[in-house]
Amino acid sequence: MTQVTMTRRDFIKTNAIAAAATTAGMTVPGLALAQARGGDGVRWDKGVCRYCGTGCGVLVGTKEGKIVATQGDPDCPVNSGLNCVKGYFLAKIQYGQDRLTKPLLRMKDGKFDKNGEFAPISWDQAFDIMAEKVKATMKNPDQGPFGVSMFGSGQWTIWEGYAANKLMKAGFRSNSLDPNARHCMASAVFAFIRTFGADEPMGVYDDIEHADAFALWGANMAEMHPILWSRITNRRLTAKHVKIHVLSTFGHRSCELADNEMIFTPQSDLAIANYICNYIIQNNAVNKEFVAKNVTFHKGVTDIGYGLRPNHPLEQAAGNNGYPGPDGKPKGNPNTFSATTYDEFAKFVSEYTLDKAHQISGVPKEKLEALAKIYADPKTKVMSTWTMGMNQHTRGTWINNMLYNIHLLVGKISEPGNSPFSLTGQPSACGTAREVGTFAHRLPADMLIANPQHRAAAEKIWKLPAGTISDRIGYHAVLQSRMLKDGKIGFYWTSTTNNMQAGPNVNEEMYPGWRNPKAFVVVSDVYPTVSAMSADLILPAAMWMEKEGAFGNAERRGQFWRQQVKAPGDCKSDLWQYMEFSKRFKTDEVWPAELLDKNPEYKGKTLYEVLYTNGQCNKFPKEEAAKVNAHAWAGYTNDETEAFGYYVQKGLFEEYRNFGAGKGKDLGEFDHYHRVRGLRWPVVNGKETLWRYREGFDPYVKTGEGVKFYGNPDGKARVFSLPYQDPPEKPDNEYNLWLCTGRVLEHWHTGSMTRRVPELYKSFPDAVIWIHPKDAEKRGIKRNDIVKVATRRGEIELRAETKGRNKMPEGLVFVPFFDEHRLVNKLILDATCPISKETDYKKNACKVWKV
Amino acid sequence: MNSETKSTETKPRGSARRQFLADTARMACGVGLLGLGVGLYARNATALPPAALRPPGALPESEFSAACIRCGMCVRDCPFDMLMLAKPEDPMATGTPYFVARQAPCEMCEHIPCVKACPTSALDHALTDITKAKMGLAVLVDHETCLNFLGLRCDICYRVCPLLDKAITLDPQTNTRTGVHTLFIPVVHSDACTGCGLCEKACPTEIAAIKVFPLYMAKGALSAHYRLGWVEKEKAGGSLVAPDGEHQYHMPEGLKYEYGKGLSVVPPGAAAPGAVPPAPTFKALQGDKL
Amino acid sequence: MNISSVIVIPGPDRAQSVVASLNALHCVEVAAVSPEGKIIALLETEDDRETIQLYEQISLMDGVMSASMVYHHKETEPEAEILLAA
Repeated sequence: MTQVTMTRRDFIKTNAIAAAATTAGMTVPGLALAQARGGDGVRWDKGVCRYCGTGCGVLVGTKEGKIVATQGDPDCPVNSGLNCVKGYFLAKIQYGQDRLTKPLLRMKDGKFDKNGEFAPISWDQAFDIMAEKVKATMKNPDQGPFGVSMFGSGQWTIWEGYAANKLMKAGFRSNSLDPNARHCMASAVFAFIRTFGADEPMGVYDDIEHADAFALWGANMAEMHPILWSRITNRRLTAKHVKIHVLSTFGHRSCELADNEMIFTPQSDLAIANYICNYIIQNNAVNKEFVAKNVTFHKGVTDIGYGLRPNHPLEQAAGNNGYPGPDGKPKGNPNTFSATTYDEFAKFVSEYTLDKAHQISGVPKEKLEALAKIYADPKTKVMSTWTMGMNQHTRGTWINNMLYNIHLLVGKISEPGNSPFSLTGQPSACGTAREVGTFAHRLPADMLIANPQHRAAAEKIWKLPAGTISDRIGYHAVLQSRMLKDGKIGFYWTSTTNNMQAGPNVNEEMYPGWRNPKAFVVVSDVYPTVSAMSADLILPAAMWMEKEGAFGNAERRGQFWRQQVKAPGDCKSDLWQYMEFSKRFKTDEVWPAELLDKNPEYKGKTLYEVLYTNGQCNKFPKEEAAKVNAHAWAGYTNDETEAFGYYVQKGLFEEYRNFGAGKGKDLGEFDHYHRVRGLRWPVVNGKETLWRYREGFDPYVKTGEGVKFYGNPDGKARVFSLPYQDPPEKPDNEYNLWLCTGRVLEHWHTGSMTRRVPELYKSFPDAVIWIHPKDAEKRGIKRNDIVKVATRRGEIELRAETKGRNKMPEGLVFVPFFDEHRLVNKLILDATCPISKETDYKKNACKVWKV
Repeated sequence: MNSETKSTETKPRGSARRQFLADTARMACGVGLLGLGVGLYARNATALPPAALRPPGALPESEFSAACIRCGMCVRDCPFDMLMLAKPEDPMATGTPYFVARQAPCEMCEHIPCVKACPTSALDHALTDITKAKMGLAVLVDHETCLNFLGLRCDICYRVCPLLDKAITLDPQTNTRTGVHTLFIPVVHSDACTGCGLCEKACPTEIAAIKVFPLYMAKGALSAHYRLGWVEKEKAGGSLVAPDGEHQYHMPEGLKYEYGKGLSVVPPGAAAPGAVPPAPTFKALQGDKL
Repeated sequence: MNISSVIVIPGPDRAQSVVASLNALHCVEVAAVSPEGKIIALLETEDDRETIQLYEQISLMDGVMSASMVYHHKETEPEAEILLAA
């Protein structure tokens, strides 16, 4: 690379002459050259948007070691060059003024002190105290290996999640690793496994262009998935017969395009789903051939509780929540079911008549019927989409199952346009959290901790002794907060997430947990988020284009990017952090003696050697980075490759690929991803799969089989009989409104990135509470008044909004969660779906009054 | 011509006008810059009211009011008498020329007499092609009263435009209200529009729905940190980065999947000429159409 | 420091003499002269006042028909190096 430098004086003079020459219509010799050199000089490379699960391709422009511009990638089929307004400002997310650049430890008198002030330290010092705390936790009889706990993210790159999974589950032998996707996708995941035996959607975004009707079940796509929404809008505008049905608990932007807007009472989606099944059966619209060949019927256990602490009265009363009963034995298991028949299912849903559905939901009968008809009509192809409205639900797994019930009864699945499609909210919720299996109960490629064969398979791929991986399910997200508060977790490391703002019940569980003197809390982050400020140690992380990365989006598309710029200061990628930290431990310190006695060849080795220089992860020499990427970037390398001396990302990915190969989870080769704009798995012989489970499209379905749900051993999908049940908290005389939380278009999740882009901040600076004008009037509240909103767990103060983008029904208020100064999650009950352990952020009882 | 007779009523005529020119020229000489900061000076100079447009070839506003010597030669030489000189009470540099599109737009003389008449570079002599002028930019301001937006067929602005099909085009969109008609949405293209104002003059509504504004008001600008991917690609004549590698998909016989087009049916016999066309085997799908 | 550029239009056949007068001024540099005689002058001064004085001086200069300021930049670190390109 040749470098040309110039003083600022000369550069400005050149500009001054150029401006005058342009104005006067003159050409000045030599000027053109100086300008061309100094002019653009931007190097472009492909990348992926950092925000939601849509996975829009972007091109990233770098100059002088800084990202100066981005553009939508015209060659990425997801977005064809478009971005939403958040994507428009991607170039700015790495350059907030308060970027963290040094490890910071709470100290007093030069030593760690839980109540001290943050002071900069070196990485060496940071790892010293972390290693000390991990070792102490493991030895503490109250804590043990599972007391070493980690909370990660669907924003981790694939290899970061994979390296963390290995470090925790194999290295520390702790399954207490969970991603923030627990708050987001867990209900979708459990339902996929229960119904199909395999995670993730069968369809692709191309379904949009083939559907005749769309039903949004708790998704405001107009604001949360704007690029996909523009595809749906186009489908609606260009094909006259296409209709859009929107189910929601309040009116929002997606309702603008709706032909059928249905505002239902919170939780009553359960009754609506069963009514639709009943309608299909009553109207003889069941696809009998499909059902006979591809579906089995089951009855799920009920009385499963609400995922609250075991001493909560609701849990004491529940018979199937899996908590210890009076005899010390677990009270059932919420995730069990038994076989029934079609006739029993028909009888079960027959009580969900139109009258009953209308009475529970408050939706006019003709609207419910219109929705039922699109599913029942064999000529109408239906795409159902959903996100947090269905997932963040104390019956989240059920409602996901129940939506599949509908599609399966009419056989509208796994073909172009007929598609139950679970959307994701994070860029790699699928790619990292789910496929890599960073949940407390999972291993990569849909394998489970509880299954001995799966553990053995993982140990084999990882070249580790049998019995390395514990058979106990680890602490999930909500349980982590409780275990911190109860002193059972001694070391807690979070990354790429902001749980102190995003998690539930901050006041009663999370904050007291993090500040518990028995716990040492480490937060890897790029900005001083609420979480970082609540930690004991902050590690400065590299983000997005400061590292080589890979995300997997909602349509099973894996997309890679190369490292474009260096991270500032002492910032390091999470990948470097996990691998470097693993050097601090010898197997003898963290593995039990009996395991090492049986496998003496592992004695005296560091976790780094055992986990990462196992001949697989370090298989590809440093030079490989330049070779793999030569088509796009001569002499390419990245920081981790330079630091560890081998192409780390390729080694990890190629080892990881073994998990899914031949099991319908096949990923492409590492090199292939760097050459293309993403690949949709299963990738078999270099070919992508669009519609899963369908002959011709899916290489795992043999000729003549038509449809095969091969995730289940019998090749069939399961339909479940599941009832409507009340939520754990409903408005009463005192707390007389429903409180729903969520997002706005301008900000992404907790706003840690978008609130640092001045233009986005200005466009929506502070959270407001949307309230129906009549509800406001009753309380003497006018628009823009400052009000207090309180639940049994806390209160916050913010301005009232009676107009604008969201239209509240009477009795329900909405508060977005992006605003760190108005932490609405202080108000949220940590009640979860007892199966998926995902919190319900949509249904709390609150009161509102004027300050 | 019609416009001439109308426009004479709205501006000073004959000798009175010339007398005025002389006054303003003297005033211009007397104005000193001393004591004004450069920044302040520039701010005052750009304060041009939105309805006032400069003649063709005018320098950017800050330079124009500095370079214009208020001689009035351009006004004198305009064959359509549509140019006026700013009076002291007008909120702009006194004595400088302007026109108001709704009253009398620029007729875009091919030989551009006003520019030729300019003794300084205030009207840039490099402008020899009137279609390259940038007096302002037409903006379809009011979508609610524009007849075409309402589904009526007016298109007057489009048809009156001297650069028909270049500066203004019609973009057909589905009329979702009737379901069977098309809205022809007028779209102004800033690369071609000269800001002459004929469209604003001709707009048939009581108050024009399309208006010409000075460029600094009319034209938005993308921030430097974002580029339009498809534009950059076209400019570069291909992908800016390593082109997308080849994709292959698992497909039933009789169907194909192409980037940008999605899924489609292969016409029988297209795959293997001469061979017996394979019966479409996508009958595994339940619909009879894609 | 202030860096600005000015377009100077000399009277017919006065370009040469105007260029000479401009070059004689401290802090002024003639950057370019077009075939038609338009001159681009660069002004490097300490502050705004000096810029305005120079500009006035050029406007009133013998043989100058007009002077228009085009570009103005206030610079605090003139000697800092910037990387231009690869």
